[in-house]
Amino acid sequence: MNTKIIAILMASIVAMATVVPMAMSAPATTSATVGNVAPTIACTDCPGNVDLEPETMAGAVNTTVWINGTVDDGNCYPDIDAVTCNASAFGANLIGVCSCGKAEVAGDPPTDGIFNCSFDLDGCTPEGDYNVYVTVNDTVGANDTCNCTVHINGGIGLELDFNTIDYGAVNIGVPKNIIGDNVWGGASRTVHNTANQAMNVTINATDMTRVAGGDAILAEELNATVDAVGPKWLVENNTVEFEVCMGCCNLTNMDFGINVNRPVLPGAYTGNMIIEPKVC
Amino acid sequence: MRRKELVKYVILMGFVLAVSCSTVQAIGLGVSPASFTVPDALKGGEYERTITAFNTADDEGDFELSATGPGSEWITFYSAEDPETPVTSIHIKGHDKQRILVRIKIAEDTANMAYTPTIYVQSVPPELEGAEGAVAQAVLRMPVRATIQVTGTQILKGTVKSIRTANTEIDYPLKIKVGFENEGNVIARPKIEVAVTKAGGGELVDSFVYVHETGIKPDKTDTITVKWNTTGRATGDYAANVAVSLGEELLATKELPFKVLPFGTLTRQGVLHSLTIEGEPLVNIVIKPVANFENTGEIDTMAKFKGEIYYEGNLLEVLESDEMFVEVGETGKLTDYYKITEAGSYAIKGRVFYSGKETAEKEVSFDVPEPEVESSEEEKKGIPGFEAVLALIAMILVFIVRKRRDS
Repeated sequence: MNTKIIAILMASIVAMATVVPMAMSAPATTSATVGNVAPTIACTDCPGNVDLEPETMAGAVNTTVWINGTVDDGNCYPDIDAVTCNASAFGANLIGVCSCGKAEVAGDPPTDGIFNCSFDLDGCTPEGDYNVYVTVNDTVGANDTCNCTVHINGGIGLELDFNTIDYGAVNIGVPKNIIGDNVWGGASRTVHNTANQAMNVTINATDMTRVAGGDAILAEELNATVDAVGPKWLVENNTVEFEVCMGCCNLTNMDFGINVNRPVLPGAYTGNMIIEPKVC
Repeated sequence: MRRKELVKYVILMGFVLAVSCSTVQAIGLGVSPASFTVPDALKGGEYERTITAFNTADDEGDFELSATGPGSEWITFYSAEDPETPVTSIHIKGHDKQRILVRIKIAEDTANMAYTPTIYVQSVPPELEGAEGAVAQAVLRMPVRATIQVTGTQILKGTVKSIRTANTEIDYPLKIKVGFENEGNVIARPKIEVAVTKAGGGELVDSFVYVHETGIKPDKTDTITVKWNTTGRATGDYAANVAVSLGEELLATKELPFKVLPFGTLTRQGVLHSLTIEGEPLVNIVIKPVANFENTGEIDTMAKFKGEIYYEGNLLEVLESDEMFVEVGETGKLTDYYKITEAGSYAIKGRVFYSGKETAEKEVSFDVPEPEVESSEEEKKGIPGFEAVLALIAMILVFIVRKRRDS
């Protein structure tokens, strides 16, 4: 009997020595799940109106449009995965790339960031409203979008591959024509529309005064043809319009004629031919 | 047969030279925008617009500025780089552009209506010399249509685009930046009220009101910087409660948490992007070495350029700019001056020192030519193809002489 009691006691002691330390040493665990907070985005810097840079109209470089703003994520900035943008106009997507960068803003708590999105416009980008949508996505796909409407303004510009119209020797009563062509830099006179709008061409001529003085060739004795429009006789200090409606980046010929039908003194004569575009 | 082939070759080469040396004399002018509007303009008000003119030709040129039509008498022009000196023409290098500030000051006694002046940018043809027969010079003129709607109603209106701040260090001011767009027709002077508290809705530490006295002109967007002095403050976590109002209207409020950190906590960092010289290096001319330094760190810093100028490989002199305050994210131009006294090869090497650090070294080299003897006549511009024609004549003469010698 005593042996049994001792055995039971020993077993109890062994059991307690095993179980109690285990119960006392087992770590207490806690767990929690943090919910995702969707990011937010604000387009704070939208250029209402954008002018195409003149060098863009000349075909040299593109004009870059920037949309800037802020992004915020309640799960901290590293939870923001990407900022993307899409630009469209006239019901169609822009040809080209709208790209974005983002950066964290130093601060406490670290939730705020900024973004910069851009897209390029070439010289023939037509005037009008362009809609830009910027979207922020976090790492689990929650997102937010802001948008800007950017109006691209029209520019105006012309190039000439000549800087003088040399009629040379002119005989009284004998008309003379200087024929142009539509080859840039060729032997004849060419005009180039560098604007992002279709243009007519206007000419405002001055009388050509005699270098030695005492006489003049009248502007009304000069004429011009642009593309197939003309010849039209010019008027001193008045604008004569040639309705050619040249599209963006187009070239065309400019022909110049002279016909002096009255006595004038011999000698050299000089004047100005002011060439000006007009939106058509 | 060989002589005939030689003749053909000489003539062909001469023709090719004549054509290839001929220059395409072109003029090109572009202006953007082609039109602009000044809506809700007040009598006596002053408004500004900027247009850009681009010279697409190879050669530099002068361009006249003028305005015609109703309201044109209110318009004056300025170079965007010098908005205080009115101009009537600008000079543009080939394939370059100039920004032109158009200032419109409306008379006090103007009737309320829309005025539509036209601004012109017009090329100036070079003086024509040696003309024979009848010659007309081509001139390009670009019109910019303006519409100025004069009204009797004052509109005070604006939008807060952003309110931001960043951590700072003790003794460095906290900067609160407010982006503001003036959408009215008069100068806007927004009021910015700031209450600084301990973080977590704690006690009020300081409060102040800032009024942007300079003002922001109509249709302009600008950043207003409000500073809070941290000298004598404890380091720690704070919050700035910012309220922006215009007139009687509260436009925006925002709570900005920030830290005032111990001195030296924030990173001092800077980059010397370039070392260039301004001015043409000629004997007896003063050039201006310019070091472009960007503060890429987290706090404002003082910066100074130190460098050496070498002549023909030998150290000539030490250069040092004045110390300059460069804010975070800004680029400062650190400049010095040097007068050149001899022709030869020069090099300038240097780096920028800031907050106990220094940037990498940059170098710029240049040659100074011997001074030229002035000629009494102005150098004549070459007649296109003239040199090629001379070469052709020379070749033909050589051929004739050789032919006579052979015969």
